[in-house]
Amino acid sequence: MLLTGCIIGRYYEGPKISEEKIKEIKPGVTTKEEIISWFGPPQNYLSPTIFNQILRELDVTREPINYYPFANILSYQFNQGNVRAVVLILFNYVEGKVKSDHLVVFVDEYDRVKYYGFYKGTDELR
Amino acid sequence: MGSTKERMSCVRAFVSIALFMTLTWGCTIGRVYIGSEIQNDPKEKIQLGLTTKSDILSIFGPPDRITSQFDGDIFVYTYFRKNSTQLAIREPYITNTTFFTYTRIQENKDHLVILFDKDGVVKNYGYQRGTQDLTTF
Repeated sequence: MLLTGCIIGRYYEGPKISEEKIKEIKPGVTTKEEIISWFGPPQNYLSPTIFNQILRELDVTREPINYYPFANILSYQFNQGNVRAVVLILFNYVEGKVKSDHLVVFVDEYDRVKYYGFYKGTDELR
Repeated sequence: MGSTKERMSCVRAFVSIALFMTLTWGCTIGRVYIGSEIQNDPKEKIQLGLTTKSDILSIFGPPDRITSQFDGDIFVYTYFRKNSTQLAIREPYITNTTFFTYTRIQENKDHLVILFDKDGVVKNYGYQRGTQDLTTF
């Protein structure tokens, strides 16, 4: 009567952000070229990720999450989603978590880093 | 040999178990978490006219959205949660009928919106913690 099932799913999107390189970012010194060579093309220059489309579907953000209409902001995002479920006949439990590592770099008019912010959200999935 | 009373109670128990197996009830609980909780209490960390954009980035990390206005930028931080609960009573063997369904879906967000002036200093902010209103069932 008590048939049990367990579902585990993992979802990864985007390139991982190198934490070693983040330590090397120095406001006023590091250039935009260096940022792009270390981390690759910024995602706000590319099409929105599937994750961002889901966020829009859920109405979490009404606009594309990485849509910055400025050339002086570089954004990088790595998304990870974990799904786990326990399926019994009488009771089911489903849990989904989506977390992001996010780096945003603001560049001044001389193409040098003005300030930056980084948050490693995927650590919360451990 | 048992008495008639004992036999009747055995039959009742058997019928109860058979009825319970026929009328299956099921409960489904779902949880969705998107984004990260807002790390610090804005009331403690933000001082109007003093805290800079750089401070905000180091305290709260990168925002989920940046909007530009004619008099400065806006940073938006969002943490989304959804709790769902469903209870259903159905007879899946003969009639395949659902007699009763109760569904409760709760969605809520924590929102932090920070307004900067043209020099990148916090002009004002708004904070709403909706996820604490979510109930377990």
